[in-house]
Amino acid sequence: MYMFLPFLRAFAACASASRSRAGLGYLFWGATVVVTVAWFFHHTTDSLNLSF
Amino acid sequence: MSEQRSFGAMLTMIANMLGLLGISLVLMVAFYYQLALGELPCLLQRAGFMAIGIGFLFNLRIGERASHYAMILAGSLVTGFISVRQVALHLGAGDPGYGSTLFGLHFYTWALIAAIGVVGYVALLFVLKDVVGKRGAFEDTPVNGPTSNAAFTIFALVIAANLVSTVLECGAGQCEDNPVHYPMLR
Repeated sequence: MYMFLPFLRAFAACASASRSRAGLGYLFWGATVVVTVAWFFHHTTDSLNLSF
Repeated sequence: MSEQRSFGAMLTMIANMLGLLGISLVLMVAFYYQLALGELPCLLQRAGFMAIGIGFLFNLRIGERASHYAMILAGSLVTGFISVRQVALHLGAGDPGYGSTLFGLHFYTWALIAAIGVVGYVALLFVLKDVVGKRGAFEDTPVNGPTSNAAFTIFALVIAANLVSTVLECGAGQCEDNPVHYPMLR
């Protein structure tokens, strides 16, 4: 699990925007979100002590 | 009529720039607490804020598009979901919460408030667009002025700083469950 990956991809999305490479930017943004969500589900192992 | 449209476009670009600077400020406050007070961060919430900021940035650098606002809202959803999970973890009676507080609230609570705030901000921005500009129109022209460049540079530097700090904290792998130091600096 490479925790720095979302940050690296977010930086790549910024770099793409600075060069007006919209398609590449969308790709890196999507990768940032996908990796963030995947890492979230990987890390959330504690059960919630709640009942509704 | 075209003057009115250009005034509306200018206003929404300023609103996008303020949004980007706001997200940068959130990340900088978190970074200040990390460096000055030794508070090790919740990296996923930061990544979520970056996803939000990229939407504002794209509106400035690539041009205003509905899909960029969708990116902001999707980023807010992800950040809000991650934050609400952490809030729920510490809801129990007698649980003191995790980490430092700012104005009496923990950072994950602030992250949730900020994520909801971004959704409200975008809603207001859409209303503003309809009031001052042509209804439903997007100005698909990038902004490359000095202020926009400064906002872009600040955001990019904050992301780069977070990238470096994450490598120092977690190395090329998974972070410790309850990190208290930077393994790469030992």
